[in-house]
Amino acid sequence: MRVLVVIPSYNEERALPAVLEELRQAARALPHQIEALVVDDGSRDGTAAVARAHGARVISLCSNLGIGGAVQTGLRVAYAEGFDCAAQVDGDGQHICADLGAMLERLAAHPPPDLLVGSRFLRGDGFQSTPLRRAGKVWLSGVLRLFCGLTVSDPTSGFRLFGPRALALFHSAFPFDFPEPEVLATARACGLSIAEVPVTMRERQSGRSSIRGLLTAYYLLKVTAAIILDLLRARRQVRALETSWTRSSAATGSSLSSASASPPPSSASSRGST
Amino acid sequence: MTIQASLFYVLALLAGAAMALFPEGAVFIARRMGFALLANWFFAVAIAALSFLHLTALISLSRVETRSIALTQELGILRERLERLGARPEA
Repeated sequence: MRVLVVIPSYNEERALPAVLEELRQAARALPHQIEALVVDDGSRDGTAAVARAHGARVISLCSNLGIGGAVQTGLRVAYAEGFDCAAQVDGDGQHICADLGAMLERLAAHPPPDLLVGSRFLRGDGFQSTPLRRAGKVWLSGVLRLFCGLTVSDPTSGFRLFGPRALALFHSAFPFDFPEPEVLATARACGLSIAEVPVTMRERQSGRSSIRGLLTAYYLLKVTAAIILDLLRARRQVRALETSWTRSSAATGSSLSSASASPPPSSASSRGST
Repeated sequence: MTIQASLFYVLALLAGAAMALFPEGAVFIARRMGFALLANWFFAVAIAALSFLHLTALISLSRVETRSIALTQELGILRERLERLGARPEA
């Protein structure tokens, strides 16, 4: 399986070398063709140079688009170059790349989920986030359960694996500001199956989160509103996904075999597995 | 400024001038709409028009932002592709 690991990075020159080294070691142990793509989101430090020096492919964005724009850039590359799936790993060192193996194993299971989320709460070890953030996650989990019927323990996890159908959907339409919970709502509304895999997370190795202080309250309000709006817009996205899926299936043929058993999602398709 | 925005601005000015020259028409419309004072009707119409303009401006701003994000991504992807082509040794 060809896997593109997308690492969105903004001013991460200090944490990035360890992340790329860890990814290289994890890739050696896996029976897949794994390629690292650092999306330098308009950094003002030497993020791009450090990533190149450590052998990663680097896309440098000329201005800061935010996490959503950076991740979508990677998904566009993965989709255009015919990768079987794309993983999202943060550039701040929070995620342990060895957990990618468990996620890829789960993606190879039958039926394969379309979107996999690494959850720090399933196993309960490692860094469990601050109490305030945990409260926010509980709120977002409740919103997703109420409006989408989706049970997910770590809705803000940025450790994800996008299968072929998720790639077909999200390479063209990806939420920008605070994308993680919105991605789940959109995926669910478009009939993609979502599963969680237990992972261990660390505290960020450098820098500080963009969501802090009063912005946390704004984040929760904005994401709640966005989830509701996404559900209203989902019908249009399902049509776009069907077109995109038909085109990619025709272009890549058997390379999408891991999901070929599943029909293009429609309003009648099965719901997520979580 | 686009032709559409210029036309809207000119029409708004003409409507204002017409109201100043022929206030009877405006008074008639205001009364029919249930306003006792012409000034109240005028402010209500102005607020509604400005809200509409604000909404259309927000919509077009969102579209421009989406296009700008897509262009930034495309630029980054193409630049990386060019760099890779440049780095490839010539056959």
